[in-house]
Amino acid sequence: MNKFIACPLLLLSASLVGAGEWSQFRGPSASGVADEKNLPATWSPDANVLWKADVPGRSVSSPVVAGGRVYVASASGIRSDKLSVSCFDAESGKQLWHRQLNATGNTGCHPKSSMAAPTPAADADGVYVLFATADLVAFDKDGNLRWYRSLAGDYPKIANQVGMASSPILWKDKLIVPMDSDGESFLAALDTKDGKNLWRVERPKDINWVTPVLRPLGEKAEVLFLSRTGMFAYDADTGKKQWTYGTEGGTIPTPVMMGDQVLMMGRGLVCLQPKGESTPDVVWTSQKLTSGSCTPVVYGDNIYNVSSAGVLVCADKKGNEIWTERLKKGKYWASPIAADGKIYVCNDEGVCTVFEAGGDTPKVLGTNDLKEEIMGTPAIANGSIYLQTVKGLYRIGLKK
Amino acid sequence: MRFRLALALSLAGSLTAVAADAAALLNEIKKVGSEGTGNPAAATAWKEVVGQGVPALLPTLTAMDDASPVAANWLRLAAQTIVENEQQAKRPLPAGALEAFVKDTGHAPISRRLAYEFLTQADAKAPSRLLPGMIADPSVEIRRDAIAAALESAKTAESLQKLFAASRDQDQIEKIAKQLKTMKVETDINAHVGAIKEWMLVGPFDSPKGAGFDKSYEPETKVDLTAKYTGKEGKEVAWVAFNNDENYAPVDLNAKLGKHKDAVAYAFTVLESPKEMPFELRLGSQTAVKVFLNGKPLYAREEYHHGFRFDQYIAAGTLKAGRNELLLKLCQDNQSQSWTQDWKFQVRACDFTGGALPIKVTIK
Repeated sequence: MNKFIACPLLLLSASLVGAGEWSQFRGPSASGVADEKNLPATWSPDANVLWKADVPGRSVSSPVVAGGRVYVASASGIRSDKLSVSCFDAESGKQLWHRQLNATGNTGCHPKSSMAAPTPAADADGVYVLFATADLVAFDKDGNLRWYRSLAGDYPKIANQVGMASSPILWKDKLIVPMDSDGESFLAALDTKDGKNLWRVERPKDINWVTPVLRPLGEKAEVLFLSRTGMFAYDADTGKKQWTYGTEGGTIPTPVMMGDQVLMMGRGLVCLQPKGESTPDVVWTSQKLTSGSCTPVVYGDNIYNVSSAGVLVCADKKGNEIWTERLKKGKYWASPIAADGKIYVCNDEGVCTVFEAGGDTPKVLGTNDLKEEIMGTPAIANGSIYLQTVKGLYRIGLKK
Repeated sequence: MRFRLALALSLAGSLTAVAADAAALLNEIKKVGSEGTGNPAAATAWKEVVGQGVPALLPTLTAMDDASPVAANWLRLAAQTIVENEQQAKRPLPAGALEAFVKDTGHAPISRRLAYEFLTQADAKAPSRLLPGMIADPSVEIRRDAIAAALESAKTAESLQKLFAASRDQDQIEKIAKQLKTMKVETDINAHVGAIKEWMLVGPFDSPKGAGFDKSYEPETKVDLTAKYTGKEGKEVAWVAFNNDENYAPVDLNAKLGKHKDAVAYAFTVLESPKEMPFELRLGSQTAVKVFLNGKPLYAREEYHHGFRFDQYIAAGTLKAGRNELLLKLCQDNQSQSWTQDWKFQVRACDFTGGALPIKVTIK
């Protein structure tokens, strides 16, 4: 790795990743990896569940954990127009507050999805929640409203009735909001203080479910945003387009940083080596690591990727397959996550399979059935796994 | 005595001050506009309103009555926070005032519904006391709860017919219709929801790569039901009549005009209204759609093959007394997948609760 890039990257990671935090989709650095220990490999409704909390309606997003609180978005009502944000004490599961908005945008979506599909982003000040209706709200940690916007009101041509699911991410004092749709389509940075636009760039008119990811570059960063028409890199401070790659890309899995390289779903999994504002080099491509919905996780020396049908592939960092395992039946929407030497993979029938990380052959440590549909990627924080089923939040962990 | 009087006057004075302050603060919140305009001032006002606690609760609910959808959510969250703070402090909510607010149909449905939710938290017996008299409530959410409660004990055809007449949500409409059918009582769902069954259709017109969405074809300039036009591939097209008695009256353009891609079709009908009245045009469309009422644009949505639902889109407008010409433009794209072949729509004209209007649909 380039030393100039490596040092600030480490510093940035250290500043973003607080102990016990999982502040956005796939964690603070969007890696899907946590530095937590003593995580359970087995659980059931009656074992290693430290607490369970109900949430109103349906949620297919991830819980986020920041400042000792867990935030969950959900949507309810006959018209799916009741948009809830629930905050729980991360330790005890006690509900600290609950707020509910009326949707101002269209509530149409695929039956498997929900208006609570984007994952919230949180920091020490509170939480930012984007719903598939394009309602966007910011609360402080005690549930006081900081600001609210109806993006569907501001930009009425936003259109994605399959159900928008891209999640916002935080960069310094900016909330990066992806809004690719068949109508008005844009990527914007909003001031975390008051929700006003700091920059907004037009995007291709096409529905897209990818969550953007930050590529730190010293004090600056690029926002990498993948869509059907390829990868786009924007300056996180200004929105200026920096570089693009390819003419096709996946529309659900998020790009993943692997050191100073970038993994993106294109024709197979593509490993890119960015080089300034020039078109990045393709380091390697793997058809074996293709996935429909799930984002790969890079952990230790390996890449783990699961297909929608449940084929888990472990490869080295050059894309060479090490082992493949067919998982329990069910469809895989949640992305695999990793910590404590374990890989966690959950399906929509409620089964989470836990693998030992590394090794030349797959080693299953546990097959855990909560018997509740799981669509959202779990969070790992506070020595435990926060697992969001479509109707409830579980804290999975070993009793102290 | 003097002390009590002084205390009462003082309290009254402070409450008046609170009310005055609350009004100014609530007005500040109601100023929020597009793209975050007014957010900083609204956020400051929001905290102060919440800080006032229960005295600001009813004014906040009242402020929702004429607030924009954006401001209404700011206010909703303020009211919720006040209530949650009271509950966490184990102080009782003003159940009497909330009940009076709920009963006052002069308030907006969204404000009354929120007040109702607070009331049910304060008084668990409120639903059984209030809902029996609310099956025709202007709030469709309260109405839904009232009908659901009444359905539990409705056993006769007469009681079910009453609930059917009041029902607005598709699932309740169909559930009651099904129950009535077992009693050999027929219902007319199309008449009940205001589904428009009669249309004149014309097309296809050529729309390469979706360009037709923004192009005005001849029917869009002037509707002449006797005219003939040059359609797709140079073929002549003319208006054809369509009528469908199927529930919700869907119109399958593939079946009537032939299966086409890269195409535009028009649907025309006339709504005769006894007087000027606000109305909602609720429609479902598998593909991009534009709506024109009396020659003026009423609604547009450029989205293809992302579902077809009852009340998928809602456009608010005003019918004038007499003849109202309704023209729909239905666009089909050029996607080739099997799930992109449908080309259909469904429309109803109703009041803001979803109830049918006293209008006549005719094609003349």
